[in-house]
Amino acid sequence: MVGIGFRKDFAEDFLNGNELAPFFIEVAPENWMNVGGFWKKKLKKALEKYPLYTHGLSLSIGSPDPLDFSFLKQVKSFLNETNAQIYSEHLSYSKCDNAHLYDLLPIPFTQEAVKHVAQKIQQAQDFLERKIAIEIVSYYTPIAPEMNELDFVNAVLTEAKCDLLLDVNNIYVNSFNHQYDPYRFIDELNIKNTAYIHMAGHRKVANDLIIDTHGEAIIDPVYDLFEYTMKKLKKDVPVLLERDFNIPELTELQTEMNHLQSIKNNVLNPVRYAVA
Amino acid sequence: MQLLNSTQQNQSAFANYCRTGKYSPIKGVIEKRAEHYRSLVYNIIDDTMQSALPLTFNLLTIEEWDRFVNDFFCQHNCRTAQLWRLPLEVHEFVISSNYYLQKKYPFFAELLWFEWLEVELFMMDDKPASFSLSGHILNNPLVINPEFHLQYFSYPIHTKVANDIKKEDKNHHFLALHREPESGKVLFTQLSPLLARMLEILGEGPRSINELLTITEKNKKTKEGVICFFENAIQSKLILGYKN
Ligand SMILES: [Fe+2]
Repeated sequence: MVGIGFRKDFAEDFLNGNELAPFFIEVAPENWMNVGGFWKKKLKKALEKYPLYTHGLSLSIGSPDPLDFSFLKQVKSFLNETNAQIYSEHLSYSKCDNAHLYDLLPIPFTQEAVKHVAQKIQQAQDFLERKIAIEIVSYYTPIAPEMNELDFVNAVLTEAKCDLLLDVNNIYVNSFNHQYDPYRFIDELNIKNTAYIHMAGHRKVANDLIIDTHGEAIIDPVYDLFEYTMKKLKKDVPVLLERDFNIPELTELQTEMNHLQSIKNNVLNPVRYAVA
Repeated sequence: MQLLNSTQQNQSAFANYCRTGKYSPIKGVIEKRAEHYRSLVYNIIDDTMQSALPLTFNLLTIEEWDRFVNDFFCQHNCRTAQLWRLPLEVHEFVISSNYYLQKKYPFFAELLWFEWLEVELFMMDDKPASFSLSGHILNNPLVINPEFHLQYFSYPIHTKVANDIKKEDKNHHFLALHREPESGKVLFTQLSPLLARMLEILGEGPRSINELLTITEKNKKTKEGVICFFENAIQSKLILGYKN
């Protein structure tokens, strides 16, 4: 199964045409909950055709601030009303000192943060009565780290007993920006509870820096890392193509989705040749 | 459990840098890379404000706009988890901080409020209504579209380009905004004080035009004009129909 992020920029063309045929769509609850009128009609139309996966933006699971339960309550209603298959969020913080920043800031890789974040994930999971798939985010600088990224992520996954949203592009971006081997990272990452995969494009802005823009096509090294990841996973995990900016012709997005599906098919159901 | 001070303080310092753009060294942080966070965060706020507040953006000089975005983001703690609701907080910030631009543009807060109302009406959750399409224009109680808002302004911000509004334009301006049910578009209707009063009454519950005329103590002379207004309001779906 390969899905696509449902964007307002192409909602009309997507719903009226047949260039794009995803298995599911993904939205951020924050952009669609408590919304009526024009956009509610569009979402309703989309949900008549496609199952929904969700990817939150504002939960800020990594922030020092406590969880916002009134916000979570609205998310919970939205997930129930839309029969959302998955609720995923970022291993980052986007709110601090009671102020939202609307972007994904990196959590310090510390033991204190592991404990704090794991506890917040568990609280949120208990409240929502479902598992959350937590995504490893792209980050451009560490903040006061006491351990490396891999140990931090593995510790959170173990302590929080949550699912993993494995964004293969983010692993690639981080490995480039922080100079490690992405294959080794996948080898050593606790991928047992991978519930969801993200794939996206990025932009190299300097010789030593890639920014995770979601504004370009997926590049070959990321496809290769995806293939490697699928071989390790050996199970059919839903994959999402993220494209948030610089939207091309929908047929181009479908081509990328087909490519992802064919990599999956080849890994999961390899064609076996009879031995003569 | 609260985070131990160091982790929390570092997160707080980093977030503060992203909001203000003023960097003081944080352990482990690569300053050059941190700048990307600052510009990503700032651009999100700037883009959101530009697209939700196009009239205000056009009114201000580039310098005024940049300072406005910066002041708002530095000084105001954004509470909403939903970015589309941000313009409401921008308006709140201007009022509560008695923002300096109100001196140069006395209608500044009203303009922001007007822009927020349009966003809110376009985005807000659906409100159910029950009504019938058939009825007598004078005798049957009219059902107002529940997705409407009645607003009084002291400046003509909905009829004049913001740059042309003068101090002398200060007067009584009434406006109805409503969401057209099929298209979801937000429509604006200028109102006389009498019509504004009538819509206010309809907001409390269905009334017939005859009843509205009696309540507002108007005579036959105004009747024709009022009927004409409500016939148009039915067309534009400001009035949805008649009480069942
Ligand atoms: Fe992602």
